[in-house]
Amino acid sequence: MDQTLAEAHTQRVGLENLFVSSLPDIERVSRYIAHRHRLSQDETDDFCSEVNLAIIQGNYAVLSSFQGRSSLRTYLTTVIQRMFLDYRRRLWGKWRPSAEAQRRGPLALRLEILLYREGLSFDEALETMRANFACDESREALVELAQGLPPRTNRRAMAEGVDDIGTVPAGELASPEAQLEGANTSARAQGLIDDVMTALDPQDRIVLRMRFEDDISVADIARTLRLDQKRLYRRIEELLAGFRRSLGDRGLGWPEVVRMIERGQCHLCLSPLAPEKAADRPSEREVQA
Amino acid sequence: MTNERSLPQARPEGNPAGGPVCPGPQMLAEYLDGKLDATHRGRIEDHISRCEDCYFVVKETAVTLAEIGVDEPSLGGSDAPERGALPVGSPRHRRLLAIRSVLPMAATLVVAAGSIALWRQAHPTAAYADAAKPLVEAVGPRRLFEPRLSGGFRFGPLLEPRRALDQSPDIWAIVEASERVKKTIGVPRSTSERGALAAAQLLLGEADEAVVVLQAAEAGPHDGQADQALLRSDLAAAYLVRATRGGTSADNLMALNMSRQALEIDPARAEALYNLAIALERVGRGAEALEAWDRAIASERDPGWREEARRRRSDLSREISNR
Repeated sequence: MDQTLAEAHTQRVGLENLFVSSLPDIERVSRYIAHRHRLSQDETDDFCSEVNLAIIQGNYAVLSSFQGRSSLRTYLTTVIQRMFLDYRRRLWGKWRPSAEAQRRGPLALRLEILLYREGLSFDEALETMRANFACDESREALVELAQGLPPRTNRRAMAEGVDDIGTVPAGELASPEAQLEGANTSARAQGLIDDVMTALDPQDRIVLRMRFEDDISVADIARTLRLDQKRLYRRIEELLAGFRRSLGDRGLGWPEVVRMIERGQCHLCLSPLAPEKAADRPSEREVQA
Repeated sequence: MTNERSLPQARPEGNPAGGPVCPGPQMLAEYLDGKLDATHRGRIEDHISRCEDCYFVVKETAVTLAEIGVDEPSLGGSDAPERGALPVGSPRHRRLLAIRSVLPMAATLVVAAGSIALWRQAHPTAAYADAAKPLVEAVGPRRLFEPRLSGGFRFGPLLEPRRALDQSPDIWAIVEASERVKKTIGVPRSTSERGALAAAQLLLGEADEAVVVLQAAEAGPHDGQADQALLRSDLAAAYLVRATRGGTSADNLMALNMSRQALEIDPARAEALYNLAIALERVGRGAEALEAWDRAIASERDPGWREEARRRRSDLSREISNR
């Protein structure tokens, strides 16, 4: 009995020490992620606090689950990225902000959500920004910001008709027909992309997406996927050529696809994951072996 | 994988009908670190290429490590918090600080001794009560720090460490009582002695030592579950005290963990609820802290402590509203 208690004590103190020594890095990773995804200061603090709480949860269950088969740094960063995914989903739902909004910062992210996810008119969005998010930007500044955002399908407008969109003063959005047409085009394009992507090797899909949707450098892709960098350059060229050819055969030009990807209307990925046979993924035993 | 799936981060993804389960963070980390063989890498890549969430995690982890992981010491490695590596935060430095500010520290710790008396009140353990009695009497209706120790310490105004002597001229009595308890106990041989020794150490500003003693006591043999809850609650208090005396934010989180564990055993333990609320406040969990204060108010029988919990809840509520 005493021995068991002593072991439990040793283990807990060990986990506490691990936690204490890791905490500065955990916080640095959390803050970096929050900064990278343009969380506001309050959201950043909230996210960091959630990460810390999740790590101590269940008597440091996250740390005690670490099996030492990777570096602790990679493991914890992976854990924190998962947490961020959950956090962002709670914050925004399954919304994916456009690259442009991410570039322009938290205000643009918020405005994009209100206009395109919530389906508010510009005036409603403006009101909400001022009332709920203490935004003191001038109307003109927000108009300019809205106009700089890529036009996206307004879900509420699609569901309820197109009247609501007419009040949004953003270039292409002024035309509801253009919006509907854009939505149809992007849906068609995504279907074609799916067809072409399905035929590719999984690693090639990842390479294409990282390079052309997420703008990750070839060096970083090579490092992540453990590939030879020089060969990867050539492989990407070949992949792109094949991809363009396949899209061209289906009547879709690469420049159009690039534009839609930049606007967040299309993605270089497959449709949601199809049910997978258990045998398709590695079992724990296989991995341990 | 079993462990991984029990983590909050591992869940069925991509297929709401309950199809594939995403690889847990451990496996994705192994993939990123190149620890999987070709077959398993292929399978993981097949999953990643079709799963939005796993793609995001892998891509973002790679980017994050590339951005901030190259020049930095590795996680859990040598760049331990300032406490370990930097003279400013080292236990030795803290001890020095404690000596320099012995009066204020002592004053703060005297309040802790008061808390110890409340411990006895809630779960009287005769041996512990005997050991801590001189501390409880010396502290009287005062507090030297925010968190609460068990043992029946009385409620009283919180003395500011720097002005402790002005505020309470008989602070030397507390120091003397604490030193006497330490001397009498010498090398602690029982849970009660360890608890009393830790209280005396806290009253003298030796938070590091108190934490070590309480950790050992919490892991050692007990008289029962009540003892265990009591020790965990006091360990939480010691972490909270240490956090304000040159400790790190990890201390507040460890205090939170320890308070929760105390409450798992004894959900109505007033001191643990009080410490839990303080820890939650300190780590920025306002809404959860409000709930903890509510529970503390409901569980508290001492009118002084109850009123203090109400006041703190009200302050916090106002602060949250102002945000």
